[in-house]
Amino acid sequence: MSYTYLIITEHPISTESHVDTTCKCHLHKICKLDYDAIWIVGYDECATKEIIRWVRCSEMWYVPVILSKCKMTSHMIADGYADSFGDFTRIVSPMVNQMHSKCDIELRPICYLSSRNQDVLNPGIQGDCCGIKNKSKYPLLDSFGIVNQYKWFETMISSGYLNMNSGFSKCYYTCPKCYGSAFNFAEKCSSCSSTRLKHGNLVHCFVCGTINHELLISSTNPSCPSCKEKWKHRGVDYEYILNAVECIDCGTKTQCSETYVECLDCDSNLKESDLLKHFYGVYELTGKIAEICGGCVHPQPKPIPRPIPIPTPKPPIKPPFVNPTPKPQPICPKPQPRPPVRPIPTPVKPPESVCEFEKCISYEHFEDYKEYYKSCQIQFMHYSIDTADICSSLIERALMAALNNVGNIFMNKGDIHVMMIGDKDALHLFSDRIYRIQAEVTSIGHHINIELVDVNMNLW
Amino acid sequence: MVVTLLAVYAQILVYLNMPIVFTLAFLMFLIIELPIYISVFVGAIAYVINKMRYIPDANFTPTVSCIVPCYSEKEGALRCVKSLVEQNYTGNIQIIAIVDGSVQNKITYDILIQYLNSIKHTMKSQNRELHVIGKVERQGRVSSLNLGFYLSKNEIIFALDADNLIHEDMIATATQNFRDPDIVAGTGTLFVANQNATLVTIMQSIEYNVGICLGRTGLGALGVLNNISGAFGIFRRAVLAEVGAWDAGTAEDLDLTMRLKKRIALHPHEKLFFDPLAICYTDAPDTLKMFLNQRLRWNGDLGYLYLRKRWNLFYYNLMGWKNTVYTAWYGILHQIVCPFLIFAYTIFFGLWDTQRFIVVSLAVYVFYYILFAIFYGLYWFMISPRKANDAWLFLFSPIYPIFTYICRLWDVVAHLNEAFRKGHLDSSMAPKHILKRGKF
Repeated sequence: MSYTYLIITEHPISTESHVDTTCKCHLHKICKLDYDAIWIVGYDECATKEIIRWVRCSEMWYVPVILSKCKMTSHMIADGYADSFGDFTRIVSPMVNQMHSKCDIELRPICYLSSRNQDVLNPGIQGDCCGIKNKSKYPLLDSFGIVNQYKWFETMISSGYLNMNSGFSKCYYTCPKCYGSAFNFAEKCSSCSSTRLKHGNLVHCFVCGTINHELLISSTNPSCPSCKEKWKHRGVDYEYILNAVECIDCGTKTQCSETYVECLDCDSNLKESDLLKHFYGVYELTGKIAEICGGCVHPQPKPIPRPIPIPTPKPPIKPPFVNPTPKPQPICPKPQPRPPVRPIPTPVKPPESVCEFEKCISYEHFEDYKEYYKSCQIQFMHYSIDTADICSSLIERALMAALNNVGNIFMNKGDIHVMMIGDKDALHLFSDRIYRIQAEVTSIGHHINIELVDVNMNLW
Repeated sequence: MVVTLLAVYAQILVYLNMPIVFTLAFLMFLIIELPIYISVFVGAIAYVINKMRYIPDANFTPTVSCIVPCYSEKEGALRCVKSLVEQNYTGNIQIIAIVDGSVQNKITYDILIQYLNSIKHTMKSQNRELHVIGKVERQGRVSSLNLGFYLSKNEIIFALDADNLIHEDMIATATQNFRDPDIVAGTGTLFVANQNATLVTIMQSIEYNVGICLGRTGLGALGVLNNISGAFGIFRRAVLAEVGAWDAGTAEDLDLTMRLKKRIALHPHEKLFFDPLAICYTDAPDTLKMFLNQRLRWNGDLGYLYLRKRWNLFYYNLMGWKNTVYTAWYGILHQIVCPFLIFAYTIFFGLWDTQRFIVVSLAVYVFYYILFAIFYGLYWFMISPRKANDAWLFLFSPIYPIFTYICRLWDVVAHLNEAFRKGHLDSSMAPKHILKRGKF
């Protein structure tokens, strides 16, 4: 039995019949989504992460992904490293067919870990990646497109799939609008919001009772600016009473200034109390996940990633031909191809128009449609940014029903990019809505780019 | 009426064949007190006449800063701050609550901080600002007031006690007085919050009605306001800065009033006001011991201030004729000399002829009771903002002359305590080492 592999490289050259090669730019054109393993060659860390995210959010979310060189954090979301095609096949051959593709979107990260014989979900260190702030403390979840990881953890813990390890635990704060965690903390005047503040001690003269700023008092020959009494001893003649902050602009004086927080990702001005507090640490998988994909856990330990970075591969990479090793007997059934589009549940039919769709959302038939959309495996990914308001007011409002149930959202800087992947019927249903949103967004001066990708017919 | 009473009194003295020396001594009281009563009466009438022409301007809403020096009031401080936040006033109110010794008074500080956090997000929309300042080391009430003044930014400054409960219209009413640009400072009515607790608080309530509400209304209308109360003072910020705010030591309220009077002597168009409709409620001591301790401090401070600290202000060039004469008359003769005369009269006449002493005492009681009833009626009819309550209080009025008599005798103890023991240094208003470092 032969395996089919996908090599994603900057200079794709197909050498073998069972090996497809493509580049990152043409990923969306891939219509066949049943490869047994993927090898990412030659991309930098940022691009690698994007490709892995694409894989994990696709129908091939379970397949092993092998990288060509070790990166700081990529090892947490990849299955191993290979310098040559031989290494690649050797690493992936025990893995393929061990994976289980049938799983709820939310449970995929746990199934993924379970299938890799891992019983803990570790946090990672994430940094700025190509100008895109990576907000996730869990690269694996990020790669699976779990945006609101805080909620995800809550759900998983309450459902009994995860337990927090009592050992390592830290907390972090995120922006309530964009979930970014890069902030600028600054003080401002509580009255006029000016940041021009003057700090200093106030001094109480025991002789006359007045309060003066320490700047008015000579340090060499201290005396009261009001009563001119010479001070000899602190605590006997005078005392520092308070550290006060004075606004240079409006003159407001107070004990402590207001600290405001500027989110460096979405430029929102927030108060400290507005920030969302999250805990991150090591989460342990409970045995419950075995009920879903218990039989899929392959016994082999995950290949340990090599920590030594490998020099950049010389493009174009010509993967050497390696005879595929005989496939071991699968422990669990071979991943099924994507199920055919299920007919619309009767008696409810999909709405013909936008208005009808909205009506359906508003009323009791929505649940039926939700099931229908789930069955269509529609995935929405919108890359948005500079105003989170646009996301919330236009995109999310319109697509909320579907997004919450069948899609994943990625918010990144740049113009809004909506990528709809689904079957033709479903895309047709949503296209009117999408184009209407496009018109709305364009009218307020933002650019929206929409790609509709039919899983069966390539670019639509 | 007063003349008739005097005539009756003279007949009684003739009938009892009183020695001339005691007659003169008793007449001294009338000579000292009667002008004050008459001036209060005339002033109160003048106030009522002026009030009839008064039209409030709802659009006049100057910005206000309220300084609330707190110590160990706990829930009382919260009650005060809450009542300020919830004022019926559209202008900006900055409330500065300063907890003196926020370590030892952590409960008070925590209560206020908790309240601040609860209203933080709604404050700005209500045009309110609340600052809770914790002074780690206790440095006294004056330092808290001055710190509050330093931190304040608004046009009108209110200095309030932390155990006050502020009437919801107080700021709106009090600020109306500042429509007159010549008004520099003033005060309002203090009522007893725990009025019905004990007989002592009932007596104090009557005293506050007649002594503070009616008395200051009359004196304020004549431009000789005796004192801007420390528990409830209202100042124009610029003027307060010019006079140097509160001075170290005790009786800081009376001291500030005298310095303001000195300023008024230099700027004769400027005025102090008393507004009986700007109302605060304060907790009065509810036991006789606590009450006497309070009066020991209050009345002792009169001697400290008039005779020790500010004696050099009793000069017409410094305070002006009106205020020099009135302060000397009311402050020194009535409040310091008179108690000694009463004390001497009581001792000598009591020892000399007890039987006659009792008869004359009864006559004096009746005389003062009628005088009190006249003034209480005047207060109730013209000024009282809570007529039903004050009418009920009048039921206890027969005890009031006796209460006053005890207070006057206790004043002697207070003055002696100040004269020989420097009682002002033994005050709960500030730590001893700070009081001692003062100039007096």
